[in-house]
Amino acid sequence: MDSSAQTQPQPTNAAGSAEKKNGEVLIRLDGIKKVFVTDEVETHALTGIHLDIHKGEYISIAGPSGCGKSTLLSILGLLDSPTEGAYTLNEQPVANLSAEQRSRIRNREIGFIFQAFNLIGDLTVYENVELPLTYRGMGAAERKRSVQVSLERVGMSHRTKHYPSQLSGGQQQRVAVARAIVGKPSIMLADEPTGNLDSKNGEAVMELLRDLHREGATICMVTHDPRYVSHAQRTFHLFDGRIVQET
Amino acid sequence: MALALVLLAGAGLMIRSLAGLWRVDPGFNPHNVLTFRLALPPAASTTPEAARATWHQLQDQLTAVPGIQSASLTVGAMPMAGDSEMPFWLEGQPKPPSQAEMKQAITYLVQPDYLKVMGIPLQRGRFLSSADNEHSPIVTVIDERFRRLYFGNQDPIGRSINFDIVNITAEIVGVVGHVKQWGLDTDATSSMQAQCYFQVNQIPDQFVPLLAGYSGFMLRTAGSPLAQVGSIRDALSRMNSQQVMYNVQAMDEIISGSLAARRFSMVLLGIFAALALVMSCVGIYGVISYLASQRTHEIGIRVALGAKRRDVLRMVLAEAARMALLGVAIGLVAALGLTRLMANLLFGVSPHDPLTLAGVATLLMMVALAGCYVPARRATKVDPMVALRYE
Ligand SMILES: Nc1ncnc2c1ncn2[C@@H]1O[C@H](COP(=O)(O)OP(=O)(O)OP(=O)(O)O)[C@@H](O)[C@H]1O
Ligand SMILES: [Mg+2]
Repeated sequence: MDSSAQTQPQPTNAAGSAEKKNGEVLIRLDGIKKVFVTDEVETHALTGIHLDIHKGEYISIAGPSGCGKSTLLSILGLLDSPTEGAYTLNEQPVANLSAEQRSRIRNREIGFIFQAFNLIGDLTVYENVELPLTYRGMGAAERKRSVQVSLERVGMSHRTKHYPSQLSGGQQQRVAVARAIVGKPSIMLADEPTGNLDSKNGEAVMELLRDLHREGATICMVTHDPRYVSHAQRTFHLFDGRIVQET
Repeated sequence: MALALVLLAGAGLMIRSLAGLWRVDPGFNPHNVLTFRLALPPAASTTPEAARATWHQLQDQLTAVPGIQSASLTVGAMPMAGDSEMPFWLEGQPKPPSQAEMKQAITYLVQPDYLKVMGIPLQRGRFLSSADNEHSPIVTVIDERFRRLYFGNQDPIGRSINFDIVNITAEIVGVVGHVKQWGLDTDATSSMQAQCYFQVNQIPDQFVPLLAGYSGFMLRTAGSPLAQVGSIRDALSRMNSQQVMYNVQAMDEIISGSLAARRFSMVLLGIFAALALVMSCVGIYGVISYLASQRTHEIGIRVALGAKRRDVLRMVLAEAARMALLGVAIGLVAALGLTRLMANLLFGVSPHDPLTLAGVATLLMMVALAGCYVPARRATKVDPMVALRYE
C-alpha cells in the first residue's frame, strides 16, 4: 500500500465508495485473494477484493451461496489470512501481526455473531457471555457487571444459569449477541445472524445491531434477506469471489 | 493409570528397601574380603598335631602373598555363608536336663587375625591370640548380643561357659561386635543371636580330624579380592599340590547374593511398572487426543473469541490433569490396600511410605502430562475457520 502513511480522515483511495462517509478508514482491503487447496483442487473463494469500510459504517454483504461471503468475513475478523493482497485494519497492516496480537484484536476489537450461534454447550449462558472477558484477563467483579449489562440488553438476564440446549433458537442468538457485545468491540461481524431465526426473532436481532450502529459500532453483516439489506448504508454484492456491485 | 501407580508404588518400595538394606551395617567390613573353602590332603589331618601345623603354615603362607593383608582360617560358621551352633549353659547355673533345653550359640572357630580380616570391632577385653593354644586353658570371645542376652549388666569377662557337645568349659576373655550372620534383613528377627569365637588350635584333639575337612579361609586383600585368586592358588599349590581351593567368593558378592531374591522382585515389579507407565502415557495420549478432537468446534469458538494458544493449551492440559489426578487418587487408594501384601518383602520402609507414594504419584502425573502434551499442542493449532465451518 502506498497510502498507508495518510493521516487525513478523508480517504483518497480510488477503491473507496463514491458516496463516502465522513470518518477514518477502519478497514481497507486491497487486492485480497483467497484460494483454498483441498485434495489438489483449488477453490478461488475470493479474487481481487478492494474495499474500504469507515469507522461507524454499517455495511452488508450479499450474494449467492458459495460466493465467498463467509470467507470474506473471516478474513475481516482475523480468523483467516488472505492468500494474496493487503488488509489494513486501523492503519495497521494485518499481515505483520503475530498470532498473539491477532487474538488480542479479535478479543477486544471484534464481536462475532454466527448463523449457527456457536455457543459452547458445556457452559451456561452466563459463562458463554463471560468468555471474551475471561480471555482479556478482566477481574471477576467487573466481568460480572459487564455480563449482566449485556444480557439485560438482549433481554436474557433471567436465563443466566441455563445451558444453550435449554434455550430456543432466538434466545440462543440473543445470548450470542450478548457475547459479541460484552467486550464493547468497535467492529461487529455478523454472518447471516438471522438465518436460523423466525422473522420475529430475526427482527429483534437486527434491531440490536441497529442500536449498536447508532452507538457508533462498525457493522459488517452477511445476509440473504432483502428486508435487512436495507438496514445497511452500503451493500456489496459478491458473485463468484468478486464484488460485482455496490449499492 | 491406577494400575501403573500400584505397580510403581511396589517397585518404589522395593527400591527403598534395597537402598535401606545396602546401608545396613553387617557388623563387619565386607569390602576387599575374599573367602574360599579348602580341601586339604588326607595326610594333613591324620593327627591333631599335623592339622594344627598345616593350619599355622597355611596362615603364614597366605599372609605372605603380596596383596594379602591378613588371613584367618575359619571352621564352623561363616557370616551369611554357613552356620554352626553349639548348645551351652553358663557356668554356675544348673545344667539343663537335655540339649534341647540348652541355649544355642553360633560358633566361629578362627585364627587370631580373624578380627582384623573381618574388621569386627573389639568392645571389651581381648580377642583370641596365638598364645591361646592346645596347651593353654580354653578361652572364648562372645559377641555383644550374647553379652546382652545372658549377662545383662554384668561383666562377662572372666565368666565361663560350658559347651555340651565338645564337653569343654571356656572362659570369656573378650566381647566383640555382633555380626549379621543371617543376612542384612532377617538377622534382627532370627531366634539365634548369640555368637562366640574359639581359637582353632584349642579345638579338642578328637574333633580336629573331623573339622579339618571343613576348613575355609577369610582374607583381607589390598585391592579387588578376586584379582588375588591366581596368586593365592599358586601359593597354595606351591605348599602342597594336593591343596585345592573352591567356592571362591568375594564377601561383597555373598552379601549382594543374599539380597538376590528381593532384587528379583524389585526388577520384576520395576518392569511391570515401566510397562504400565508407558501404557498410561499412551492411554492418556489417546484419551486426550480423542477429547480434544471432540472439542474442535468449541476450541474454534474460543479462538474466535480471542483465546490465545496458551489459553487453549492450558484448558486441554487442565482437563488431562483432572483425569490424571483421578487416576492417581484411585491408584493411591489401591496402592494403600495392596502394598500391605508385600510387607514381608520390605525392609525399613512402611508399605504406606508417604515419600514413595508421593514420589510415584508425581512421576505418574508428569508422565501423564507429557502424554497429553502432544494432543494439547495439536489443539492449539485448531483453525477456527475449519472449526466454525461445519454449521
Ligand atoms: N476451509 C475451506 N476449505 C476449502 N474450501 C473452502 C473453505 N472455506 C470455503 N471454501 C470454499 O470457498 C467458497 C466460498 O465459501 P464461503 O463459505 O465463503 O461461501 P458463502 O458465500 O459464505 O456461502 P453460504 O452463503 O452458503 O454461506 C466455497 O466454494 C467453499 O466451498
Ligand atoms: Mg457462509
